[in-house]
Amino acid sequence: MHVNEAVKTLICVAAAAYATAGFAFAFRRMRAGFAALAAGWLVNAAVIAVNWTVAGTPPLGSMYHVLVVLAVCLPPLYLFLAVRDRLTWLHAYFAFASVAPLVGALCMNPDTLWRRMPALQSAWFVPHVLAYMLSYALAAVAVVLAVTGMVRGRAGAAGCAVARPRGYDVAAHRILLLGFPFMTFGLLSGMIWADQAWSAYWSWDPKEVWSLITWMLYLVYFHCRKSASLRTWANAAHCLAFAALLTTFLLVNLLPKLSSALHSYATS
Amino acid sequence: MTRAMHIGTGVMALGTAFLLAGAFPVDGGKQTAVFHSPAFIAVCVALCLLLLLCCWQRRRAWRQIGFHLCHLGVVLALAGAAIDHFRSVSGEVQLPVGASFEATRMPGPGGVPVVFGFGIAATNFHVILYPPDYILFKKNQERLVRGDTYRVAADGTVAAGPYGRVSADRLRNADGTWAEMVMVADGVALRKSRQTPRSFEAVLRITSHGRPDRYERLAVNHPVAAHGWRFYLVSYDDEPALHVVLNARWAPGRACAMAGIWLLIAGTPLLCFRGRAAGEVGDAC
Repeated sequence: MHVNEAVKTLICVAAAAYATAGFAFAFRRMRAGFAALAAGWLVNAAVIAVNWTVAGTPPLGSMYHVLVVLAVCLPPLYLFLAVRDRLTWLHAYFAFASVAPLVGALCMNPDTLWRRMPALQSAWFVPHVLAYMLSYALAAVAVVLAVTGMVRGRAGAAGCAVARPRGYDVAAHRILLLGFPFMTFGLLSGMIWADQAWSAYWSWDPKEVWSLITWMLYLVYFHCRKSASLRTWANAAHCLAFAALLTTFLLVNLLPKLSSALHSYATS
Repeated sequence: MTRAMHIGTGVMALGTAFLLAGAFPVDGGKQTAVFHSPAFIAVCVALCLLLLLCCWQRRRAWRQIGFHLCHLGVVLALAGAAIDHFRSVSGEVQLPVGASFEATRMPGPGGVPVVFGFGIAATNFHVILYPPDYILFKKNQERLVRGDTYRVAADGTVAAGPYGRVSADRLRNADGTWAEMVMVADGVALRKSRQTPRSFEAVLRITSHGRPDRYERLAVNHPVAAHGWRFYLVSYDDEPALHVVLNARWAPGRACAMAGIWLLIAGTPLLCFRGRAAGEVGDAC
């Protein structure tokens, strides 16, 4: 079997295992859920191992690579939050969130012939991309929780049975508090790296501008959440921030009109 | 929440609106002009003043070190960027490889040459190439049809799918270079693709009056600093003669901006995680 086909099969298996885990958690089959989540994570890790072997270097250079890494970040982050913040009830959210990047990866060219170009031969390459992947994984779960909280809050206002809309909001905030330092490190390590590689720490490249917009909108969210009078704007800022994140991560790479000259190697 | 922080949130939202205005492409690609407009610079200045005011209002709360590091970090980074915006000088130098070719100036804005005050020369330039990929070509009714591309394995062989593994000996010429073409079956050949660079580097010689010559390794991601200037290896070409392309930059605000960046890197986890540890989730960031 060709490497591309083998890898795509493994990705399908991992996505199916994550989806099974999500449904098992939703129907309160906890043991089955955790078994499926662990199986999915192992297969997901195997895909990264194959990509690493084929590329001969950490596989973080294309959209396909980073989507696979994004999915593998989510289950360990769930474990961390479950232990640290006792947010154990988030299992289904993290399981379903792990499926989405893998579905995205299936739509991408596996790019088995990718090689690190000279500008990517830097000690900042892995920490910069990995920090962003961790923050994006957490931000994805946080926005789903915030939207769920808003929907359930409205349902409660309409007289329906409501399950802890405030809990969703607090959980989303805690998750963002964990993810935001990673996002900040991703942005700033990119500036330090750009200073070494491109002779300027800031070039107003579309990818840079959109990542700054994302970072600023999350800052607006955090500040709005602190003020009673601005708190009503917090969720709007959160949703806008995630929309900006999607633009930074996906649209800047995939839409030619928004394309980034300096980050062109990230396009798959 | 203080009034300064309240206004600061509004200013951040306004700054984000400016960034959005410059992020959406318009015909001619002039949208980034908004980042250099006086209005945007005024927003940045207002943000800095508000951040300093917030720090001043919490000047006695030194236990909130993360708060101070983050806010002062942004101020320093913006101050450094502002200095560079108004004062920095940058340009490109095309430098033939060889000790005898020395550059002491570069073309500046408006064609006016910028004099370094010292000389630079690039020597010992070399490129490390990745092994080539091999593309399968199959003869089909007098036409060559392109097939899959195969990568050279770590042991120097190529696994050419249905045509088996091609040994390392067959892929190398007698002088050790990669073979341009290898027949793997009747009418089926592997053809070498263009090799891409893994890395390239040179030695930069810096000569100045009254001082001994300095020799520094210059590579991508490894710039050389000399007399306030930084030289970056960008690319190379061997047409018409072997030369390297360097970016030269004099940026007086760089140190200030870098200090701000490192303060932010240190301060953000302190600010976000301290709040959590204290159980003040809502007050953390």
